[in-house]
Amino acid sequence: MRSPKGTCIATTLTIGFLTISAGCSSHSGAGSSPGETDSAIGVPLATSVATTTGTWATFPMGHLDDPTNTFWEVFTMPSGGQQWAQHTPPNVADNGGLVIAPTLAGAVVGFRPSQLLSFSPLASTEDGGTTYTPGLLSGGLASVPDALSVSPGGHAAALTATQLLTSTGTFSTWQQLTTLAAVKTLPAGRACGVNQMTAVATTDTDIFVGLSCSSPGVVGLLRHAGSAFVSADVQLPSADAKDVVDVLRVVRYEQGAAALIGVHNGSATSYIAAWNSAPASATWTVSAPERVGGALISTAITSGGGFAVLTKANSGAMSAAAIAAAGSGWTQLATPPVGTAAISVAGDRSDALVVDSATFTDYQLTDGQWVKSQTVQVAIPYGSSG
Amino acid sequence: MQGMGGTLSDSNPLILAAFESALRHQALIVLILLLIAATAWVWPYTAPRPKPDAGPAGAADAADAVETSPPATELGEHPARKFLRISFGLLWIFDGLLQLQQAMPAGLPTQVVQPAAASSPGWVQHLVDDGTSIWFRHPISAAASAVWIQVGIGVLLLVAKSGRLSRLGGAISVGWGLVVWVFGEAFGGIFGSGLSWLFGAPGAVLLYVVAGVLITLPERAWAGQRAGRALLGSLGVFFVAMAILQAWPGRGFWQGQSNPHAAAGALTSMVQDMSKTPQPHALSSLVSSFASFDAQHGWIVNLLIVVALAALGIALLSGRDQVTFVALVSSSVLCIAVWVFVQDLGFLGGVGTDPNSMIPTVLLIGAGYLALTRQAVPAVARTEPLRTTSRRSILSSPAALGVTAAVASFGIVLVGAVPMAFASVNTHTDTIVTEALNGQPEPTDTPATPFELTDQHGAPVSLATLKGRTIALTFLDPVCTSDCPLIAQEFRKVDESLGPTAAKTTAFVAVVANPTYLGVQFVQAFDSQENMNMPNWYFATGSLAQLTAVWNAYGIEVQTVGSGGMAAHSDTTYVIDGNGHLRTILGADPGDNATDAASFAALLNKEMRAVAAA
Repeated sequence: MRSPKGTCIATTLTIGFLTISAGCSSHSGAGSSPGETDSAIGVPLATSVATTTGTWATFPMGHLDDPTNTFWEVFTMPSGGQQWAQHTPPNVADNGGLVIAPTLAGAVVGFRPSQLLSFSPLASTEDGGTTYTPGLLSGGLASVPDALSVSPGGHAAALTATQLLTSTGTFSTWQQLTTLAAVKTLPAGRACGVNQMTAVATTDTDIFVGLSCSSPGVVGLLRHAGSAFVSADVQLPSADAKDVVDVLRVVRYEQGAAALIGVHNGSATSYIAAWNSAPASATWTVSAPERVGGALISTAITSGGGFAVLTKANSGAMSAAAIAAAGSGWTQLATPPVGTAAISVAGDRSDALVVDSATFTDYQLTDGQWVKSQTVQVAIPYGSSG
Repeated sequence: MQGMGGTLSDSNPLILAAFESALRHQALIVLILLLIAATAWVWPYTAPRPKPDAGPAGAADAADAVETSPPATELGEHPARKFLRISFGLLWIFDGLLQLQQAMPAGLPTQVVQPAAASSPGWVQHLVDDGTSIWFRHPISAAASAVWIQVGIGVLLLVAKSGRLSRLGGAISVGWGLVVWVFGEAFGGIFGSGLSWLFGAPGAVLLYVVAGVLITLPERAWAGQRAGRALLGSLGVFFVAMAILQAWPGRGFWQGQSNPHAAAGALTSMVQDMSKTPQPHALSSLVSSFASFDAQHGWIVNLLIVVALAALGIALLSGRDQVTFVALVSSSVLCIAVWVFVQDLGFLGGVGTDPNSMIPTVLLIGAGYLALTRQAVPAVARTEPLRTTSRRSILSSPAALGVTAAVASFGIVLVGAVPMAFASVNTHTDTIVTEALNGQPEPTDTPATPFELTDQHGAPVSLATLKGRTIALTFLDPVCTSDCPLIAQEFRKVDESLGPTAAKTTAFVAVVANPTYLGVQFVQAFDSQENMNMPNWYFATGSLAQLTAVWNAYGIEVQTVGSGGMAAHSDTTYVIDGNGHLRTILGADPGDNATDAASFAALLNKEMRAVAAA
């Protein structure tokens, strides 16, 4: 006998299941490319750093939808130069991403773990990337652009997912300074509600550690001076007291330390820069917030301790803004070209570094417009990491 | 070469030869089974009949006599069940024959299974990976087994018309169908994005499973219209649900392609891809034409599909004979149109394993219609009086032939199922995988070039210090991300398999193969990462000049690739005897997906034992 009731129940259950399926599947296809932020607290690895000796940039190239055919490249431009040159350190597969730490004479590049490699080889250079000397971090560098920092005197600090390590000079022998678990138990860590360590910057006397906090309105920035970590005591305007805050970047610069802070209000993020005038100073100058729509896909350290952010909206439209130094305000840059992987700001020169598979193109900001100035074909070693 | 990838081609001659050989051997077993079955059936005719006056033996006929059932009227097989049994039996045989394709052993996981799971969530992909790992480890036995299991199921369904063996056929098709649906079709993609009836949801093999369940039902379940109404009602619900899913906004089905450079809608994109696969020109033209039509009229096409699915669903739910007949004809037309224009016949263009979902869908609707409109007819109207029948005449009856054929068919299933069961519990990869990737071991007998390097502890290591031991010598990059850690693990497995005494009689030596990262700290980091703490493990390094001399002496190419690529180097392993002579050269490329995990270990183990014994 036919059972209308049974048929009705079956229909309802099936339609319900398929409704859920349709709802889920309509979202599950959206994936993030290697250069994009993949979580609320993620900081993209693609970056540029302007120093007194030159500008360093790293970003992914190749087939970005295939992790084993995504290769991170290092491009450099010497101070006063006009052309970018590819100087990716050789002989380690860098599919997991690269981290750049400027040094007094050059930079140290760290390879993030990928596939079966769980530790991080390092490569330091003092000739702009022409030659590299190998180094080693026994753990795997954290997936943040400031996972590695070197002070002018050669003191190095590195972040792994769970540890803060330090080294003096050799880049091969490291000691554990603290752990994520220990940071969580500090008074400043408890106030923050630490999710993860997001950045490290070392001067010759201090070490700054950026945090991602779950407690609203708290800026997770710690300073290690002597033997203990204390809060650096960066205060946000009271309007941001209910917003969740991540420290995205921490850098040392000639006058002290600077931090780029992300303030999350729902789906919107505002960016705030903060500087202290001297490493030991507890006084921080905080910029006005700059709201730039879209997902963060790259950050930049500009000359003089400023920052730039590059975002991409769901529509694909890109936006960029930069702030020069303490006391200045944010400047909206012209809409960057499609495919911009990173922005660099060094002195008066701003560049949009555009990637299309194996082609690197540099656009310079000239009279408020991005003008193509250089193209480089990169011999991406497809298939070499398979 | 390490750093340049190694792929097991689906046309690898060694794999193809082994697949053919396995099929020939198993075909021979099947032939023997059939001969035994034929002998069992004809034996009653050929066995000498005992003479009636042969004393005690003369009672044989009496002993053979059995009492038949009392007169009764029995219903024969229901037409709907018969239709399902025969049609799905033929489908299983067709699918089994598709498994004969040469690309199956090496190509099925990468060309069929993994793409099917690509859009599914992580847990589905992990589950599917577990299944494909069996295929990766034992490609020959898995591929050959699939042939015989499916052919066996098909033949069993065809020859076993009724009774327990027939229902067993249905049950086996349910079991194997579920295995294929989960591990081969990733649950038919129901947990992935882009789910659509047009693309085969909920998975063709799930429809085989439904048919198997229906065949397994007892005869009485087919009495009346209950089974037909249940089947058609379920299909009606399914069609309505698929219509809703097809109409759901934001899934790309309402969209064609506004211009050649714009993003194509889901259906357009799928059909465009199908039209580009290898197939007869006439068919690709048809599919390509439909792709163009859908690109221009994507919204209308989807509207028609949604309306058709909803109407069919409602018609099937109505339960009225005439409406159901119209639905049967309409769904047949729609399914065949989708089968040709969207699914591209299902099995063309690559490593096709079945004709996809449209044919089984039509067959299920047809069975439902038969179940609704037909009744089983009496198979035997036994009105004759009680009598005795000799066992010999029963054995030579058509029923006995059916039983014998069904048992033989079950045997064919076992010819595939038994090796498959053994393969699924054997975690050691067949050595043919590493031999297919790297070639077979090459015997040699020349003095090994001496070297003097430094091991991971900073101590000197040389051929001289290892004299008297059987040595496995290879070249590894300590900062490698892919092959070298796998090769090191294979060395560990060989060491473990050789037993505790091997620590004194063997040595496993790796020489650094990276021109930059060659310091002791890097080999120590590698050893720590890979837990290479065996006492007879030596990861040797030295200056670049020292290493280059060793590389050259052993024919190892080490190249800087640049642009973020790892150092490329030859994947070669040498077996050196206790007198310092090279005895065997083996390729050690683990290939993509680490397909020969433990396969190289088994081969190296064999070669080291042979060298030590010599």
